[in-house]
Amino acid sequence: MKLLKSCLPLSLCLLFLTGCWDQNELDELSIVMGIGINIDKKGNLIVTYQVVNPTEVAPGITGAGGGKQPVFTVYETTGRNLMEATRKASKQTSRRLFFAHARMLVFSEKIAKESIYQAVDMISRDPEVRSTIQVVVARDTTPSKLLRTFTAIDKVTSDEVATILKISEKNWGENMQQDINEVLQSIIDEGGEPIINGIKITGDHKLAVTAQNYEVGDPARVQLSGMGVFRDGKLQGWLDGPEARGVLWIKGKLVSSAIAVPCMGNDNGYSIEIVRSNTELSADTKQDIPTITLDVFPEANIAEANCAVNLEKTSEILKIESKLNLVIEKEIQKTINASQDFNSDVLGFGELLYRENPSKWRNVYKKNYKEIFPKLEVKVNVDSRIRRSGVRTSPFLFEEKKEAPK
Amino acid sequence: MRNRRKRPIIRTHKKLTDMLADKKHDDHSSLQSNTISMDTSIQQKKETEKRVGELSPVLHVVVDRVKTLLGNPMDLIVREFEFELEHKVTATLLFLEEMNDSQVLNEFILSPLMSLSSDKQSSPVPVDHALHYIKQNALALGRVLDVETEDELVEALLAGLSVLLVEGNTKGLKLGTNGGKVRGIEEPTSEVVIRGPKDSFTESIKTNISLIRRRVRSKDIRIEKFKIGEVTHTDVAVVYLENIADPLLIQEIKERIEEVKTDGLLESGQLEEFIQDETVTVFPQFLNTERPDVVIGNLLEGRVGIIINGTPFVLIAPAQFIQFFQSSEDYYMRYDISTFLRLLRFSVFIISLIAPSIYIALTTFHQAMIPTTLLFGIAAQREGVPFPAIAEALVMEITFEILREAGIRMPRAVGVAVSIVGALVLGQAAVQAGLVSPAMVIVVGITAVASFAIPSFAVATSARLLRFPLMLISSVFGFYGLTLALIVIIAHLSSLRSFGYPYLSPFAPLQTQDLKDSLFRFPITKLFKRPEKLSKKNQTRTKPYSVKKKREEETTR
Repeated sequence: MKLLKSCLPLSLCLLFLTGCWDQNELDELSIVMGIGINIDKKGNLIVTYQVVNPTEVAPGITGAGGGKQPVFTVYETTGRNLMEATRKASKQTSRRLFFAHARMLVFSEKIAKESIYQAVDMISRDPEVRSTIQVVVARDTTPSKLLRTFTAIDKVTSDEVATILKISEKNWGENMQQDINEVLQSIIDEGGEPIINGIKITGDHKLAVTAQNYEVGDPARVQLSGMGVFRDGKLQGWLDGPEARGVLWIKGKLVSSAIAVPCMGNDNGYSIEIVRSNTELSADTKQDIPTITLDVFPEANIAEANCAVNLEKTSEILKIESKLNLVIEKEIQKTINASQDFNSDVLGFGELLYRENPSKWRNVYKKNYKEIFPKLEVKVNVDSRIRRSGVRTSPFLFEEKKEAPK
Repeated sequence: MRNRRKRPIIRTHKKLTDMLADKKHDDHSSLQSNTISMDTSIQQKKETEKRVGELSPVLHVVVDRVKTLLGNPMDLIVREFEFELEHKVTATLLFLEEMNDSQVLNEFILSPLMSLSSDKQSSPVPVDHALHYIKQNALALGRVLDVETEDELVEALLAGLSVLLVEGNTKGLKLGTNGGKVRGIEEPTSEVVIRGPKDSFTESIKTNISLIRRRVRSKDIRIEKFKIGEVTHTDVAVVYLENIADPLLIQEIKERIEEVKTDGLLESGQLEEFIQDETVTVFPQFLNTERPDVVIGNLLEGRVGIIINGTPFVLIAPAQFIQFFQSSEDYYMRYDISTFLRLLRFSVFIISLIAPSIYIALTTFHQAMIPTTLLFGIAAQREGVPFPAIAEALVMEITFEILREAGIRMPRAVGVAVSIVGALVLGQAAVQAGLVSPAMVIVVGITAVASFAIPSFAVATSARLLRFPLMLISSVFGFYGLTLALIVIIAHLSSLRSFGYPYLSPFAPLQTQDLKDSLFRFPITKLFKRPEKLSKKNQTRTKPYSVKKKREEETTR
């Protein structure tokens, strides 16, 4: 009892003497929203941090001293590796950099071409950085410029880019969200290579980095631009437009998109809205060069029909379906060809072969996959279904023609 | 277990008596020491007193004696009068003014006695039979008892009875004429319900017992009386249902009450502190209520009510933690809304306990867990606030406690001013002055409102007290510390006993039957059983019941 009594005050002291080593008041933190990584001529990393100024971003209430400050500020440091550069940032900022809310990791094209391997480990190792941080490559610009660009709607660029990615994947399907985990996973996958979204600045590049960018009617904008294909951590080239969409078709990630289908001589007469799609992959590993079969089952609506066609007839619908199948098939085939040209298996075929026949993958394919992949034969079967035609059946052009005197 | 629990009570008792025994040597005449030192000399003393204390047949001797004993108080009324038996007899009526009903005294005692005349008597009554005669023939009262000693006489006077003495008799009569002004039955102030009985207990134990009796017409109801307080002689009644309550429990409660030796008992809270199992805890181990229906509901579950004269708050024991989140209304409203409200109240308790701690832990340790946009908002508000979050929270919480305390003590007219100043100080002014962030005001506000939503004031107080250590811990250790502290609290709760019954039952130990009426309330037709541990001998409370839907069939046919 006596012992307990004498120990109690001591243990109470212990409670308050520990020093709260990981305690940080909110106003002692710099909230990093975007990280940019570039490389200089000597091989040092140039790291850019986009830090929010919460007083300017906060909705409604502005605290003491709200005024005309930029919504974010950018710090740039150089270092031989990422950690060194990060810690060097403390020479410039009065607050500790706080990475838990970072939403975007930008690589410059330069470092992407040299190798991204030197920069991804710390990002994935640091407990503070979330694994949902989106990875992008700055196309025709540098991360430092991109992170300095003022955007109009979401005031912080990184926030805007991450949101654009999400919305674009859902509605257009030429880009897909690639967070740090997915990038690393695609590197680890058997024979796999990462594919990373490209992002560029459109409009006046000089105006982009000034706050005036808000005020002009024609501001510089950040815009998604294709997907970069990597091999051994090095950027090989870009997939743009329908080629990029092909990747989503193959990976079964396409949620919704719009596809132009020819109609009565008009090459883009129909616009077909994909509403959902399912992709099944299978591989035949009997031969030395395996064959891969892709079955795609899209469901679609007719969104536009700019030709005089009678959509009340089932035969017409079936015609559209077969035309749509052709278009999609071509798109996918193009993607496969492009990726075979780059000799970079961003489509995950290696992983598929490994799953179909693990022993053969280990013994035969893995060793010379670089030779096999470009020769892979891929059969694409598309079986689309048109479900609805919007709130009307036949287009007004058809009704007009029907009523016109013969 | 039982020995360990009891020991402290006995020890303090001994200390008290030792102390008083010491005191007795210096101060012999004091009433306290006279009555409290019940150790050894008491037996002899009583005997001598009995010999000395017998009533004298001479009236004025007795009256003088009473006057000296009571210190000749101004409210002692000595009414001398005469009435006729064989011949004229002198009598004296003694009573303390305002403790007796003067109308009863006049109409049923003085007037019949004074109108007695020897004509009406069939045979003459000798003086020494006078008392018996008037008791039989003249006093139109229910409670008339003999008084034989001076002590009895004084006690009767102090209890608010009137005493009739007749010349030449060594006995007196004490008459149940007690009355005077007491507060009437009003609506409860601390437990307001929308649907349910609107009466509440008063300060008078008799009224309170009658309120219970009127609702329970059972021969099994037992009301046992105790007197506590060597000076105040406060009446304490233990109420239970003989055929339901556990005899061992009743025995223990009685024993604990009997062991209380103190000078006075003014409120049930004092008795609660004496007889509770554990002193070092912030959690209440008794339920207190001013609603008769709550007492009866608990009696039916096998619990025991303890009524103390002078307070409208009745204690109920043993109490379980979950009871503090139940309101009598839960049983009068539909079961669905009752269940919803019970869950709400429990979450409200959690909020009032840990809301500021969560805010502190989130903003100083776990910023990663705040949604990005909200983080910007809070960070912007924190910008320019000079204090760390814990200081900010402590200042605001303490300000609130001050306002709350001031609000209770203030005269009603000033109360409005306090609330206006409070709203301004707590709210806008503090924010605008840059002392606190608006988010902190919201957190404190939520906490305050939440603590008022708990039906039991007693358990709201424990949340109020625990809030501060939790805030400190979470400012030092974050969620890790908060979690540990909550584990300690739960461990403490499960170690608590109220008269030997686990405080956390029916959750720990798990009693599946009792769970039906805990955080949830099942439909009344499904509540068949009384609490398992409380009423071992009489478990069934409801027979299965299903509505016979005759009418429906007829109308649809």
